[in-house]
Amino acid sequence: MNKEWAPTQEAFDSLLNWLDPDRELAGQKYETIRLRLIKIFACRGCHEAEELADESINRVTAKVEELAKSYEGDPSLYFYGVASRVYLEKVRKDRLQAQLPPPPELPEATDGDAYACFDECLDQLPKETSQLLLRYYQDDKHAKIENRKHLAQELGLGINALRIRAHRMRVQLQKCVESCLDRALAN
Amino acid sequence: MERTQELDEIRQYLLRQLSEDQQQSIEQRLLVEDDLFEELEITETQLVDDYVAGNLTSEENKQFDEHFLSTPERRQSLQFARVFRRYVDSRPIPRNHRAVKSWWQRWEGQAWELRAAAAVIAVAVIAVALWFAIPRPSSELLATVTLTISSSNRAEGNAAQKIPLPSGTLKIVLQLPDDSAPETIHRVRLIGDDGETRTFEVTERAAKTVSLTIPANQLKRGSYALKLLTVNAAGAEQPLSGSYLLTIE
Repeated sequence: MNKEWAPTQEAFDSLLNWLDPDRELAGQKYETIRLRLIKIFACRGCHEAEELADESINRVTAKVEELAKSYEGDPSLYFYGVASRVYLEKVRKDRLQAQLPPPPELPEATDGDAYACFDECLDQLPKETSQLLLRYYQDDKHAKIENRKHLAQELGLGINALRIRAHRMRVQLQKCVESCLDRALAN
Repeated sequence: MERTQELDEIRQYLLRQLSEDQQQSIEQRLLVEDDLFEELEITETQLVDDYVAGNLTSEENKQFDEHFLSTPERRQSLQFARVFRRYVDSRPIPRNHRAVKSWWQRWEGQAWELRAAAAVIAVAVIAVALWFAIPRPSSELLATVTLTISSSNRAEGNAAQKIPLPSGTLKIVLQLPDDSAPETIHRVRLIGDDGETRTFEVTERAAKTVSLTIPANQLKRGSYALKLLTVNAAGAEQPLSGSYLLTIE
């Protein structure tokens, strides 16, 4: 892996321009590609998913002048091809993670700290939203399915639309709780 | 591809159960399809919740531990899911919270004569409803459907069999692939089009079929994929490839 090369501002600008002539849209596309490459590396079991995604992007950036002239098709798929090579090199290099020490455990907060953060974060949401979240994740197995069916009917939503809405709220809640816990652990 | 098959494929992708070709195909789509990417994230969360709730098979648990928990972010999501589950369990919310409140408020505002008359009518209606609703031993409410396996490969996928929502218990008879023996199939996983998964015990075995029964109140309208679960030589439970597709209308 060529970890020595770092993209220049000029090369990075060319990369954005290749993704989209509109700078703002180009920035969004860049972020989307990066996020999805990280996810793909994580799904392939790589601890250092972010590093590998950035390495893939750097390699594409190094060739962007040439690509802008000759490459046809969705740029995301070119990134994917490069990411696949980066992954294979990584596999060859450490053959495989069984030899590596397990990644360090994250510091764990007590339930008391965590509950206080859940209370704080849920209080920041409109009451209906926080109740929806708690109700959506209530119960287990059959009771949970029945519960979600009723909840969807009450809100006039399809089950899948409810599922997407609940997931987006949960992601927000997780971010809020984690940043609250970071503050609590720091004190 | 049927939605349930797609959800199953995403789940297999997350547990690293797909072949290299299938994996590459799904990864290329993840880079260009926004909906699929969001579906992956939702399925990832559901998988973590299923792990926390103990709803994965022993083989899936193993794959989850060995492959899924490879990044700090995912281990953090697992910690979050564990505490979130305990938090939700500690704060039960009445299921019909809003509906009960508004109904009760309206009820309290009525005159007592009207409330008494309404109560008498309600008791009569409940009595009649119960008379009709209590199952009689003579009326066995059992619907049966027989399904054949569909390859998980998109190009070869069969159409889902459609049946109306049964009023009683649904018996599902699954025709086994030629290389499967009924005695090796212990349980069947049911995957709904909302990503919910449940497992059912096999209740009957014949020469080339296994059957399971599902009470109607555990089903709703929508698409389902069923997967056979077997036990491998190491004693771990794992899904066989291919799905049975069913649509309840």
